[in-house]
Amino acid sequence: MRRGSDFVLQRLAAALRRSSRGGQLWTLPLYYEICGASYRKSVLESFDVGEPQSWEEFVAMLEKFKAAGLIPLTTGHRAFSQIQMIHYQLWASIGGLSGPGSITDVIFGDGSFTDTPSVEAAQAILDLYKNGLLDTDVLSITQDDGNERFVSGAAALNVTGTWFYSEMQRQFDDDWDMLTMHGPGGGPIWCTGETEAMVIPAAAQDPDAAALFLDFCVKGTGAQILLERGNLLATKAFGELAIPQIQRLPIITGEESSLLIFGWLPQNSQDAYQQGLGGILSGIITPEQWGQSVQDAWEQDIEDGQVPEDRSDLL
Amino acid sequence: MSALPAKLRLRPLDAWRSASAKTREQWLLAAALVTPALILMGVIVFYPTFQTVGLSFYKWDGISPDMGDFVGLKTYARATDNYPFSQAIKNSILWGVVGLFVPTTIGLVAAALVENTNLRPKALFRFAFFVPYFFSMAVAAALFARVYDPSYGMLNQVIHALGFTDVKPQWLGDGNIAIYAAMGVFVWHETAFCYIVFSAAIQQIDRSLYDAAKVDGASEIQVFRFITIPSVRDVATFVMTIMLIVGLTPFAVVFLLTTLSLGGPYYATEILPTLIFKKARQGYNASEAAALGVILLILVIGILSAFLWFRERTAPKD
Repeated sequence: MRRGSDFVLQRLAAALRRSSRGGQLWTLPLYYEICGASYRKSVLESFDVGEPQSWEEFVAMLEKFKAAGLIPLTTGHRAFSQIQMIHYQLWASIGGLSGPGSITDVIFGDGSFTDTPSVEAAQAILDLYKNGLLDTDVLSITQDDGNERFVSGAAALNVTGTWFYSEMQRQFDDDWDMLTMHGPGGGPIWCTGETEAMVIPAAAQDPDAAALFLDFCVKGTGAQILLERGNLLATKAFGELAIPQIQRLPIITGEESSLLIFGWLPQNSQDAYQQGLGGILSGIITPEQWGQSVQDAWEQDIEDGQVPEDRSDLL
Repeated sequence: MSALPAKLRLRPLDAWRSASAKTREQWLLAAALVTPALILMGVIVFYPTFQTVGLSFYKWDGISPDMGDFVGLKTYARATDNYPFSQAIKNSILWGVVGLFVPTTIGLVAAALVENTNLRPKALFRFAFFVPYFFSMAVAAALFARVYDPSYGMLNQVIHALGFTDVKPQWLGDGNIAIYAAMGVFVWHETAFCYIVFSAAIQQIDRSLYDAAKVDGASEIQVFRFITIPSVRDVATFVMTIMLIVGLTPFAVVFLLTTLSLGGPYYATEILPTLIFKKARQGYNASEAAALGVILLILVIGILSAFLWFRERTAPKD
């Protein structure tokens, strides 16, 4: 397919890089996601804390919020589990961008969900929950409920992402920002990904026609529609950087970031992943058992052909 | 079959030949009326059912143009050898039992209370008991999701108002009680249906029976037990049959309460229909979904047959 999109080239360099193989655009991402913990700048100032630079600082900050009667960190597990968003960040922080036990290694290499960084991240979430630093209602509420708690001021931090930027800008003007959480012993690594893409599958019966369609989407009228109505960074708010906080995002700064795992997990694995995190907090399974159950589901997905057995060339 | 004439049961062609012109005309009319329904049933019920059974023996993702390989019972082994399936079976049966007895019992008792006592105004009580059925199950589930909110929901507010300030059940988040919370929505909704059917049935009972019982000095409980219950027995069988089927397949309420983490927390509310949905619609595994569908069909037919057999066996001899 021709790479003829002005707006993709100009606005979505990082997305384009990830969406191309051998110089050919094979997918058109429609949605760019980045998860983190959003906060009110004024709230952090009132507690005389800045963005934490380590796990210890992160926990200490949450302790301060708790002592003041705030919900330190809220999110929802019912419906789509945002606990997994916490896990991505802690895992990426502990496991690093690559290497044994990293997210990349597990998805594209020989790593396992039972490897230490993944299990340690799950254990860290359990520790937060047991110590009352994660919303005690987390298992019962949805991410919308978590958003309500954050917007109303009941919660200091809220696990969310790009999909909530516009609302936060509307609610707080510039009085908000987002941080990525540190895992124990790890540094800050954002988890990002383009999801909900249009893809030309390998088995497409008429790949040229499909390519022409993608080409239409990224040029002329099609590009205009995506720009005006799409959810990608190419929307006006994102594309024109009307929301200042966007300038910090890895896709703009060019900073390396980790994968958003859920875009890579088929149903069995995804189900085991998010259900299991709830199981850990409920005390039904341990983080180690969770890792094993996700690994089992992942292997079943590979066996079913839901994930290519050799994934090295997908990276 | 037993109600048909013996000659018709044994030799239909002979029966046709020996029948009068008028009888033949009636039979043809009956056949003409039934045939469209049978064709419709064949297209939308029987054909998909047989196709589902066949599909369950193949390995197919549901979207590929080719069906895939014949794998026999392997699909069943894969679909059933896991924790979510065991949870789904357990919960489905539990839900079926609850559907069979709870809304029917509450509906019957409520209908008897309203129709056979001096509660006034009856129209208001009838309306109040039937109100839940004005809402679809989806709306009811959305409503109860708010009621069950641990911090702001009505239920926990009531518990706190009663003085239990340290008690804060996580209705939909606690794996031990989430299934019962979901069943609560189901019972709230379906009791209304049971109530209205039983209410209509009780209104049809000959009032002289009640008058005679009162003259004989029967208590309200005795009247309920020896007049009301036997009089609505056939209606009860109908209502219980419906509730059993609905109870074994309560997809809407679980879907609305737990999607996207369908069947959570940690498979606590998993039922066979949610598992089928996940396999078919989210997991691109049409074969396993079909296998689970066949298992659900067998479960529904099996339990329903056992129930109807029991009702038949315990029916009054006259």
